[in-house]
Amino acid sequence: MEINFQHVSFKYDNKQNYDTLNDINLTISSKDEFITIVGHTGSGKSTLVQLMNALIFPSSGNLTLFGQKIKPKRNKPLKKIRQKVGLVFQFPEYQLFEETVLKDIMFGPQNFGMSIDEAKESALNIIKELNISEEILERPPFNLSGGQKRKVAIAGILASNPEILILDEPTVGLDPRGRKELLTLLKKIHEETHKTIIIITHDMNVVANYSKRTIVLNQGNIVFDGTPKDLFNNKDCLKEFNLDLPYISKVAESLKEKGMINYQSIPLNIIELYNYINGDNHE
Amino acid sequence: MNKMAFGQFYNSNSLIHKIDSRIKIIFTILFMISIFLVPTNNFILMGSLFVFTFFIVLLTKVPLNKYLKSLKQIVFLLVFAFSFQMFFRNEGTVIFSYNLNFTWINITISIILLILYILFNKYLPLKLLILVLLAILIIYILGIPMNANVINNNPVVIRIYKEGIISGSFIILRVLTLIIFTTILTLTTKPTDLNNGIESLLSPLELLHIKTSIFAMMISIALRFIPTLFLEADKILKAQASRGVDFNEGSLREKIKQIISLLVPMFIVSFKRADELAVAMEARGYVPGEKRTKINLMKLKFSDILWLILFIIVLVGLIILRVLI
Amino acid sequence: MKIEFKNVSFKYQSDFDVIKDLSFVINTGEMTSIIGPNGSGKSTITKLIMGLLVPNSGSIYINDVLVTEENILNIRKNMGIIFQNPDNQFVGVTVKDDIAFGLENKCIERNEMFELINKYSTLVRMNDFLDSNPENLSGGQKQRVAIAGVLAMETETIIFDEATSMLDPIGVEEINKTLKMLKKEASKTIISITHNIEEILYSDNVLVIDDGQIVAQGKPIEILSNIELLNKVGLDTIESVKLINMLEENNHKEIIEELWKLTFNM
Repeated sequence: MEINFQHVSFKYDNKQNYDTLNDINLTISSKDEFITIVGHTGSGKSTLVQLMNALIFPSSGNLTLFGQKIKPKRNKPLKKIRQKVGLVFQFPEYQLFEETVLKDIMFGPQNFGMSIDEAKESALNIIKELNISEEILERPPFNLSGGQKRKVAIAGILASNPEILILDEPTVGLDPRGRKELLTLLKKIHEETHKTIIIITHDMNVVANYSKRTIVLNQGNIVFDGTPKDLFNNKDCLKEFNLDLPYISKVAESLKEKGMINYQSIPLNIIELYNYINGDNHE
Repeated sequence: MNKMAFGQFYNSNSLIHKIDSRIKIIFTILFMISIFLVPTNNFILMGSLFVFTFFIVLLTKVPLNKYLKSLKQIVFLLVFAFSFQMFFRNEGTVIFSYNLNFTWINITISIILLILYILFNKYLPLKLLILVLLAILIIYILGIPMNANVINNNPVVIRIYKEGIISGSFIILRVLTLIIFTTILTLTTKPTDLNNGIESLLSPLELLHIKTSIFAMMISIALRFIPTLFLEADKILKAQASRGVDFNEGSLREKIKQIISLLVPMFIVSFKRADELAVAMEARGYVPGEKRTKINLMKLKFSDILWLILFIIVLVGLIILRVLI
Repeated sequence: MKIEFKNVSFKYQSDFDVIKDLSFVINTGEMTSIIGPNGSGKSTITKLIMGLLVPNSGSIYINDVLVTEENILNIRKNMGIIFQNPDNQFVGVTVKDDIAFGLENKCIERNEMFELINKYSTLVRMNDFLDSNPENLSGGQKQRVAIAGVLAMETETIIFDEATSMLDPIGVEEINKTLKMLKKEASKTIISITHNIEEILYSDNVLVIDDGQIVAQGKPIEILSNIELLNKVGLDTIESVKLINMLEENNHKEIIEELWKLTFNM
């Protein structure tokens, strides 16, 4: 497994900007996983993904990333890991700085050792993949609309050809169309390249309808690691950690309470609920 | 998100913390004048001011290492001032003299030691202490008579005079007292209170149509946003690090690019913030320089006056002493 | 406060109009939602209402008085606005100082200030945090402080300019609860600008903006049902309404009725 946490803790008195993590055990493969990480503010989500990118180091326990052991202090060069684990921060548009969109996308790949030509080729491929219009390539990134800027920033990570892509709340601040477009894009990338994608989100609809596996963090502990379906059918867990159901599941629950429909497994999207109402759901 | 340390303020809620910030600013100035009124090389007076300062330090209930931290920044200055006085005074009683022999061997050994220090000083703890020890060691090595070609036929003699050591020590004591006392002010006063105090003390300037309130607002906004910008810088730094920026390596050209990758986003974010903040302030009815009321009213307590009187007595006492002596 | 736009157009330095020949009326004491995708010109409208921008053509009337450069400062005293970014509108070093900021500008007496701060920080449930610094507050808490700061100025009108768009779901819920409470308890004119369809549910009137123009106007239920139009401008209706649309009227009358109820109660 490419990402391997064994009894990893993160607790530093002098790093007060970080939430602590306790005894994390977790393995993630670089192929075919689509994971969502949920939990309330302060639960340690950001700390967890920054550990995966070796931006910060564990205070104890064994953390292995792509075979390299990450020690609490001085570590061997970490560039290789950071290239393999692409991390898109919240509001990634704030990291853009180059004169043109193309140069900005090529910045990461060049840092990771690609030549100018290779970086350019990689950037152009990603641009096509993300439906970024070629007209804007020579324009400064600062004049683009919010949604476009974010796509360019994500392209800048993808151009380094990471094996795992992590995104910290990628849809915050986007309007419904931008949100849907971005999520569809991520799904497409996942299906075509089989790369593992990890998304930190608060949106239960994303958890239910995009991810295959979901990890719930609560006060620095992993309290659930399984399929979204199992999570949303586990009422006690949802209640204990104060997690919401997806909107449509809440609707379904109310209808069930009124005795209008019946189901064993809670519907997670409109189609499922529609089928229950029409009575043609064969599970 | 946890509390981020900003400024030196240390909240131990002591007697000194409770003194009105204007009074603290005034008596700090009075005390600084007092320190400079102490006649040169009068160790008894300077020593009493130092003990007095130390007494107030104890009253602040701030851990002593906080004071040591601020002293650490001026150790170099102190060492320099002391050495200057010690080596370059050349009158009075000689208490120590020392011949330097400039031979090839001595010089070569000294240079090798220096190069070693320059190469390895990155990895050394207590750099300054080691540098001082090294300087002593080199002087010692240069003092050893060698049977080799002497470069300079007139031997250089270092003479240390009693007066040099005395005035060096006096300067150190004076600077120490000064720094410790100003540190008391910054450790026991919140930056905002300090700002309010300065604004209040400067307010008579408004009569001369100098809008001190605008400057006070600027400082207060800066104080408000410094922690926010630090968090921001940390975020951008990490975002670029995950794009392969490694601030510890790379050629000069790459280094410049790395710094640009931090600075440009910082500028953009800060301008955006400033712009939005200006609109928000305008929307809430702020007009620069207009009359406003204040929620943070400063009220002098009786004890504040007593503190002020205490420092006036110290100052007046010193002036009288100067006149008498 | 009655706000009326008559054929207002506005452009920034660029050539194309961000706001195109816009006319609408917002009535005193009503809550109006202005909804549209990012870049549709919503936020420009708020700045025009506040007089922070001046239209290139057309005119704006507030309480039937034409807005001019002379009277805007006075008019603005009766309007408060909550912006999108929680950090960039937090002026004070503490919560108390921030709520006081607007009051200080209005030259309110110090004792009265404390009364107002207490009253409105309690109303938005931030009274336990009066001495906290902004670095230690969540986005939702900071926005609530901003709301208290505007409420304390006791203006007739409050504008929410995408006040929830940078918050997590808990923050969004906090703000929406506060908005609902305001609508119920304070007889204020409220304008809410948003791209989240859920936030239009309890408003009296909805304006849908796209490309600087009004493309639809009506009660929330009318707007929600117009799925085609919402999709066209890049917005989305609420999922339960989508489901209603999928179900056939005759077969599922009862469920559809229940779904409408749920839509407005959730």
